[in-house]
Amino acid sequence: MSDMATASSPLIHPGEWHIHYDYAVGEIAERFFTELRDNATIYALRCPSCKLVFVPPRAYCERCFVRTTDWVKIGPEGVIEAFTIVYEPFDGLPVPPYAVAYVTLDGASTALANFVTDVDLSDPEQASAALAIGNRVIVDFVDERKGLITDFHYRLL
Amino acid sequence: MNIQSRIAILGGAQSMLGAHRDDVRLEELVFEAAEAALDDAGVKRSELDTVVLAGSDQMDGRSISSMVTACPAGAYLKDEIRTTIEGSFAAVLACMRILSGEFETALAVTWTKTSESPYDLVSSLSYDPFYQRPIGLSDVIDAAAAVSTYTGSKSTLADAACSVVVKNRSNGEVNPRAFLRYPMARETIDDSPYVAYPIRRAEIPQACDGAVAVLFGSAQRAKAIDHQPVWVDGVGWATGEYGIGVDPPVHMRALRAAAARAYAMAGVVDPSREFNFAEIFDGTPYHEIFAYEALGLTPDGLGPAFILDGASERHGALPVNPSGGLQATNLRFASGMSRILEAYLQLSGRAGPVQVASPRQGIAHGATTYPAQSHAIFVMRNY
Ligand SMILES: [Zn+2]
Repeated sequence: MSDMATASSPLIHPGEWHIHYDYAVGEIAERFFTELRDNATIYALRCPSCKLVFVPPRAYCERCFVRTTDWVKIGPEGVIEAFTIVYEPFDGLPVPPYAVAYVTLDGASTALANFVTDVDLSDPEQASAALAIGNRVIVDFVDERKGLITDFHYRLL
Repeated sequence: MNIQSRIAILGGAQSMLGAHRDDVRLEELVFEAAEAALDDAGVKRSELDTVVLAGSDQMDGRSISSMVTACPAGAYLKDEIRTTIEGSFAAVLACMRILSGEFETALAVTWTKTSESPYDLVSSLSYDPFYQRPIGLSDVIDAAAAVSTYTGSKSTLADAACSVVVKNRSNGEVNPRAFLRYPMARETIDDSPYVAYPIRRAEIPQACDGAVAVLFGSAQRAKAIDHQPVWVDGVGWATGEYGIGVDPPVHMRALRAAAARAYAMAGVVDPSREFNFAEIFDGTPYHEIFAYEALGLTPDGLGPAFILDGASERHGALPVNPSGGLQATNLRFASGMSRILEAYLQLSGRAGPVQVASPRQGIAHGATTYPAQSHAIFVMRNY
C-alpha cells in the first residue's frame, strides 16, 4: 500500500516567497487617513466637471479626465449599496462570519467598503434582511485610530 | 500586406485537463494545447506567423511566465506578444494582428495551473492595500456583494442561479471535453453552505489545470483548411471601474460596452433573435444570469426568467453554455479561450454530444474573474 502510494505520488519541489512591499499612500490618501485618525472625519474629492464625489478620494475623475479639486466632508450616515456575509474562511482574511457592506455615505457618489458590526450573523436569511440594500448605517470610529481604513466600521441605524 | 476585412478560426484544441496536472510542468501543458491546435488546423509550426500569449504571473508563481511558455506555444524565433488581462484577450490581440494584414496565421495560447498555489490568497493580491485588503475582501466575496445589488426578485434570482448550475453541470456531463462530467442535483446546491451570502459552495465550480490554443487566420489562409472555417465577424472589449463604485455591478456596464462594439462590427441588430447559442462567463451562476441581460439576450430584469422558462437550456430557444461553461470546466484564467474553443467547435459542427442543431451564429465571452471588471465578446459565424 505504502509502496503504491509512493510510486503514484508526483515529485513536488516547493517554492515560497516572502516579499515585503512599501506602498506609498500618496498625498491625497494621506489627507484622507490623517483626517480619519486625528479628527474622526471622512473626506472625499469632488470632480469640478461632473460633480461626482469620490471616496476613497482620488486626484482625478476617470470619466471627465480632469483633476478633482474640492474636498468635501461626507457621512457619518449612509446607505447600503451592496453587502455580503462571509461564512467560510479565506486564506489571509478574518475569521468568519463577518459582514462587509459597500456604503454610500451621505454626500458621496461612490460606495466605500467596510465591516458592519453588531449584526447577528447566525441566521443568514435574517442577517441579510437586516443588511438589505437601501438600509441606513452610521460610521462608528474606533478609539485608538491609526490612520487605517479599519479606524471605522459601519453600524445599522 | 493587405488590411483584412475578415478573421477566420482555422483550428483549436485544449490540453488534457485535471485537478492536478502534476504529470507535466507548465511549459509541457502549454505544448500539449499548441501542438493539438496546430494539428487540428493541419498547420505546421513553420507556417505560423505570430504567437499571442495570455498568462497570469501571480497564478503561475513566476514573473513574465511567457519566458518559459512562449517556445512551447510555438514561438521560437517568431513574432510573439503577450497580454495579462484574461485568456480571451490573447484572442482579441490575435484578431487584430490578422486584421492588420501583416500575418496570415496567429496562434493564441493561454493556460492555467492553479493547483500549484492557494488561489484565494493569490487573487487577493489584486486588491488595493489601502482601502480594500484590510476589509477582508476576495474576488468571491466581492462577487457576492455584487449579487446583492440586484433589484429584482431575490427568491427568483436564487432559484434561477440554482437552475443555471443544474443546467451547466448537466451539459458538462455529456461533453467529452468537460472537466466535471457528472451532474449536480438541485438539492445538493440548496443544502450547500454559503461561502459568502448568497453564493453557495456548490455554485463555485472546482478549478482545473489546462491550456487552450486557438489558431486564427486570414480569409486567404482559411481556403487551405480541410474543415469548415469559422469567422469572427465582431470583436469588442471594455474595462469598467475598479471595485464597486458608482455603477451597480449587476448592470455589467463593461460587458454592455464590449457587446455593443462587437454587435456593431458584426452587424448584429437583435441579439435576442440572431444567435443560435452563447458560450459565456459563468464563474458563478449569477454572472450568467446578469450576462443574459447585459448581452441583450433577454430584456433587463428578465434574466432569472430566461433560465427558469428554459430558454437557455441546451434544447431551448437560445442554448447558453451548451458545453457546460465554467461550472463544468473552470479553467480560471483560460476560461474565456475555452468559451471561444467551444463556440468554434459548435460552428464547425464538431461539438460532439453537446452539438446544437445547425448553428449559424453564436457568441463567446471572456471575463476577468468574479468581480468581472473587463470583458471581451466575439461574434462568430460559419457562413
Ligand atoms: Zn467628472
